[in-house]
Amino acid sequence: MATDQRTELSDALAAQGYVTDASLVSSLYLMGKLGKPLLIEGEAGVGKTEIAKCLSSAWGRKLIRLQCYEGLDAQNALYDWDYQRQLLAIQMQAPAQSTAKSLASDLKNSLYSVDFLLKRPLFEAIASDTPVVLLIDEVDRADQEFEALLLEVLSDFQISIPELGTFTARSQPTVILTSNGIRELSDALRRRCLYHYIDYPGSDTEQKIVKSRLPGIDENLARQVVAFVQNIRTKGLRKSPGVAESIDWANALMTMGVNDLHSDPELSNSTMSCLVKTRNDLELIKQEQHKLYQTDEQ
Amino acid sequence: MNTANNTVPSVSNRILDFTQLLRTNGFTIEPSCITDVMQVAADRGLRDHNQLRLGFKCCLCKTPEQWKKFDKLFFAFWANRISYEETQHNNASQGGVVSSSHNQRMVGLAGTSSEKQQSVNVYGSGDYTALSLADFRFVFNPAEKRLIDQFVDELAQRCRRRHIKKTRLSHSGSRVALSKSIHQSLRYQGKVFQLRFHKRRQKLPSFVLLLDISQSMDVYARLFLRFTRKLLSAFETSHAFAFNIELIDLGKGFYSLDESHFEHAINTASQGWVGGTRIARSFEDFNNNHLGALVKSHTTILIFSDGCDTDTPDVLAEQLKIMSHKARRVIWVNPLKGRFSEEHIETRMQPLQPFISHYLSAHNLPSLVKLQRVLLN
Repeated sequence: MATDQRTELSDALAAQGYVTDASLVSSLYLMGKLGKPLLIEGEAGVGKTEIAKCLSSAWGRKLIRLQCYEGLDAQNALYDWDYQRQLLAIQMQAPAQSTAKSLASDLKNSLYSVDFLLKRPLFEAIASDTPVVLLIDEVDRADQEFEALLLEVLSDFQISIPELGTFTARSQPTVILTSNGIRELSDALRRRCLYHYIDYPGSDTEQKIVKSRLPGIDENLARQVVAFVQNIRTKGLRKSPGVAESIDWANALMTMGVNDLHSDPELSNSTMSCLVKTRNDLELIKQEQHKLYQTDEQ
Repeated sequence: MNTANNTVPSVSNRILDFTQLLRTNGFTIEPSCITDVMQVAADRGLRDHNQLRLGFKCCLCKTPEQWKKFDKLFFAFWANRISYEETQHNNASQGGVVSSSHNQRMVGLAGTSSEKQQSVNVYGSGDYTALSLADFRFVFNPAEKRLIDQFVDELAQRCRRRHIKKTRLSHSGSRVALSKSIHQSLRYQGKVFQLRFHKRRQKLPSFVLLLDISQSMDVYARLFLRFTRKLLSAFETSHAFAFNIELIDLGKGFYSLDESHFEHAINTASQGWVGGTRIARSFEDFNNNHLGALVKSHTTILIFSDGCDTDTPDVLAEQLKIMSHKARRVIWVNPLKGRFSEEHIETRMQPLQPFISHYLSAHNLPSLVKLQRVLLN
């Protein structure tokens, strides 16, 4: 039974063009089975964010994405009060009320109600009637205070608003958190999540991914591109290319009409900016280009 | 209903033994994780080791390091060829962390004063104190090395935590915080009497690290490189260089490599841990090619070197003078400072002193703590 469900999940992701392995399928299956959020760590460009997108498409669920950044706070992630509307409401009610006392009691009841609440991504996911996929992207970019805010959502799927009370999820969202490991996440956050680490894929898997994303690519070119990328990942570049960069580069080569990396090295080099992102890396690649192509041929 | 209860007692015990093994190898296993693992075992059965491994891995690992280490421990335990006790023993010999009763204290107290040596207990709780006082040169036990590594990692990460960028509000400023201003105006029936402003964000400190990787620095440099990697990952604007007879740009990508790859990358880029050091020439190269682009008025230059240079101290002082004019401060960390007497080092460092803001040691844990305090000041 469980095996069937895992196979279904794997097929559903494959239908969305996401090539996965048994380990990731197992983690995604457990995420649903145990009802826990899944924290996915790994280098940039290995397909962490893509998992959430493909899952939402595969399951036909709405994707709610919260992109984290330094300074992200409750007002931008959970909820905020619509101050402009509150202001208008006060000014509209003020002339009608005869005494300040009656105005105050009336405002107390009306101003802090759901009508004046602005739902931000986390609240939207909790308040949704149908299950959604909630992607909390690059959580390591947010501050530690924000991690503390997340704890209640991740463990109990609820949000407490002091003025209104506690809102519990009507339907439990599927929560995926991603991290590039820029900052160490707190133990409290890790404890509430299942964990999966995505490494750079092996040569065969990467070829499958490239072919899946670029169906028209020449078999030989896909093999050469992947071999080249796998090789330069071992060179200690400042920014090692991820799978996304491999796909971009292969796409650029296809667009330029290249079917063989060795046929026109200059043309291949002109597209290298898809693969390496800093001047130093570009210079390093140029220096070692000869060796890299040789290794690729082997 | 509770699937966790469906696992037979002996299996539960075996799972508990396995979690115990993981704990002794540095995994943090919460009771809730054990419940999850029991559910996985009930769901998948114990026959399919591969599925069991994947399920357990997802529930019990919490960091990339644990993720990479997990399979080895799983196979060692569940292959049934090796008993739990044997596994523990093997881990001890391969560098795994074992319980303190099994572990003899290996840390020497060389590098600490005789009074301190007498005051430190040999076993039990005194172990940590002994470890904290020991010179890094005399730490040979893999378990204790790992403890120091962990501490170094935390040290670098704590630097970052202290400098969290957060928007704060104030009564004056240039950017109006609209929502707070309106919120405040509610008490005046919506009339905006007082404005609130966003305070300017605290600027993250930026570091430029210059690391001596000559042979004389071998023991300390490896540990400091670890510190560097973590610091680079914590402060994105920081930059690192290594030098022996020439300057090597470590950039920022190096922090993502693990220790063995990191060392391999350094060996590939340089000539390895070679004998001589040309500090002045390396600094000259840095000043000519990188100082302008990387060092701003808020940048701290952190030099990690024993100061043994084949060039004369005056030439080195000249280069340091250029650095000190551009940077906020220049911190020189010399691990030999705690090893030899002050006079011994002073003869070499004397001409450099006017251009150095802080001159520190980094030969043991307390000295690293002191370094952290200075970095955050």
